[in-house]
Amino acid sequence: MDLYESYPSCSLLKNTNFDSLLSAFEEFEITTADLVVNDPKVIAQRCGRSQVELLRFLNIFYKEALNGLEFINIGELQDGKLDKNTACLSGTSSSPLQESCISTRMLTTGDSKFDSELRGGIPAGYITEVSGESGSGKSNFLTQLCVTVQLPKALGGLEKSALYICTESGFETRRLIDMIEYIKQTHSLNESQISSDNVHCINCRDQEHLEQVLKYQLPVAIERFNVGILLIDSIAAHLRAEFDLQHVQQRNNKLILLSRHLRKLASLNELAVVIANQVSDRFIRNLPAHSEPDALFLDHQIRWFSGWEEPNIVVPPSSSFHSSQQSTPATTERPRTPSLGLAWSNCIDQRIVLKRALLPDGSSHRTFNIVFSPFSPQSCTPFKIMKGGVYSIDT
Amino acid sequence: MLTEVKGFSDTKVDKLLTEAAKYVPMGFTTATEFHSRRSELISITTGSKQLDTLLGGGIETGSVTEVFGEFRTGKSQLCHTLAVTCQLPIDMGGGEGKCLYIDTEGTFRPQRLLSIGERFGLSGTDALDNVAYARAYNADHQFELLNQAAAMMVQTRFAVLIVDSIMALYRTDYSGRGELSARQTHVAKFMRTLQRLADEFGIAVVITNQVVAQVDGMSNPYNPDPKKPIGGNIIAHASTTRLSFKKAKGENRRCTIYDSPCLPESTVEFAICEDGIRDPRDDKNND
Repeated sequence: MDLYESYPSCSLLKNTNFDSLLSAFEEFEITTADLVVNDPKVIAQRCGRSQVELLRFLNIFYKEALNGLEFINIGELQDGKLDKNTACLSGTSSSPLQESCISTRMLTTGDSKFDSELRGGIPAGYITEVSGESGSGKSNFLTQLCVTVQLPKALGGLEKSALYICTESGFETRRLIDMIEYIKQTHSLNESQISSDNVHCINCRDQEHLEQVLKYQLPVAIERFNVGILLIDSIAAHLRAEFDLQHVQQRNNKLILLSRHLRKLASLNELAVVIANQVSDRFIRNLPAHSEPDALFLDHQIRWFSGWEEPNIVVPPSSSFHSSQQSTPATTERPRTPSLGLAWSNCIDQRIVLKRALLPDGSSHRTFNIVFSPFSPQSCTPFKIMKGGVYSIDT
Repeated sequence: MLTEVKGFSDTKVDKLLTEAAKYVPMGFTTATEFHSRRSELISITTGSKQLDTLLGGGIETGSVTEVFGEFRTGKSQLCHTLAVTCQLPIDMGGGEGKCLYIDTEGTFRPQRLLSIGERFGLSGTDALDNVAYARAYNADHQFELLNQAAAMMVQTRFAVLIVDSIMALYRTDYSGRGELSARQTHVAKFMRTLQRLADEFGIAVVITNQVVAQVDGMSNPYNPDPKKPIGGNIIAHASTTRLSFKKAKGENRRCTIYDSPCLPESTVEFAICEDGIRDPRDDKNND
């Protein structure tokens, strides 16, 4: 019985009259979905309870469970969108779903160029993945979001606090302090508005601990600390150590459950979720030269969502010289892909890839790439990591 | 665990845990507290003042530092020096603890410790007694040694754990792409255990790594002689600070910060001498 997971607030769970019925559901593996779709007669037969009792239960169940569901006509929604301004002015409240469709609250990244590429910033209520090689600036970027979330709403912040969950090395508080100082100075804000007191962090030593924190502590923490953003750095560290190739299925299962849980929390609490991911090398199967790759192969498809293209396949040999002249040094590197595979790629809403290429003089050329996003097109912005944080540079 | 109790279903356990989480103190701490705890961590001197400045005080305890470079670039020399300097009192840049040395290539030379110890005023026997040395013969053995290391760390205060070099045994134990994924999972486990030891015992973990010439596909016009550390992305992601060592003139070596969460990219030179790692000779400030 998964009623508790589906409707934790359902009064039936606490109703002592239905205790035995609930345990019967449990015993005969009747799910919430069964209750909605199946004929009560069939259910009663399956768990061997009286129909009358079941009907009484279902009566309350339908009333409570289906109350939250609202079907909105798309046409209506569009109308609502058109006269959004009038609705706001006259103060009439439209339905919550309508509202959430119209305006997603965006959290500024602290840099105007990134914000404009992202069409406002990091969306609240969605899962954003930031992946990149080691040293590409993922943790720096995440740390910066810990600061910008505290900014006043006029400056693009949420006036909320941040939760930082680390699984790799500990949280780099020295960088956080640097960034807080810098942002405080540029916007002339005071201690009470931005402070490291509003960043709550925890170190998870293994996957079990991480899951326990996300599942049980997170919902409480969100309420208690008025959290606007959840940062996980990184999702892959433990999974990569604990699951080998034979157990990919279990790993994917865990990932899907985890992302479902996070998404639910995100949309309920208007929480921005930003997850750092590691990368792995991508091996290209040796295809015979000049052959057209099958368009449905994952090897072919992956180029559109991994963030790294494979120039050998994309560009026919004749034009490759031309293209390599134009390309930035970043693309001459061997292709990589964010780790955790296709299953994970389907769990996230938008993907940002940070790249770093070494130049001959030893300096780095870094780029901020939006790979896929429901809000913005693909783009590539060069950036630099400075003492005050991660900022784009003009080219 | 709870699900094993009779009468406790998954759902009930779930409910219990959710309710319980509301009452017990939470695992989250504020960054302010985290920061004050972190500033208590010490750094262990490398023997070269310039290198220490570059690293913001020396090799950081509580984190994993990776040093990679070709042969003869001073990786093992740094390890030998750290094995001695970690025994120094804290005001001299040491860690007041012992050193645990896991050697996979057979490059450990006790005589070196004697001459380095002399420089810092440590008696030869002390310098040697405080270094626990283990030779690892295969990848599983290397992993097993960490368990023993943890047991030893409970008993006495250790300051540094050195693995020289981390990938050598993996390179021979696993071969080809077929075994790559098994190898990387093993490496990931190993690295995670290192990180945990660093967290729990507040030790500095230093690993060295070999490099390979980058042969894959296209030559990068911006970098004519590309060398990269082995161990792939797993090692790259798992180490907190990564240092690249290169040869310079004579006994001098060049150290570049390749990746660090808090230090900017920069380069400095140091020298390898009879008595360990030092600032380059032509430097007037030298002692």
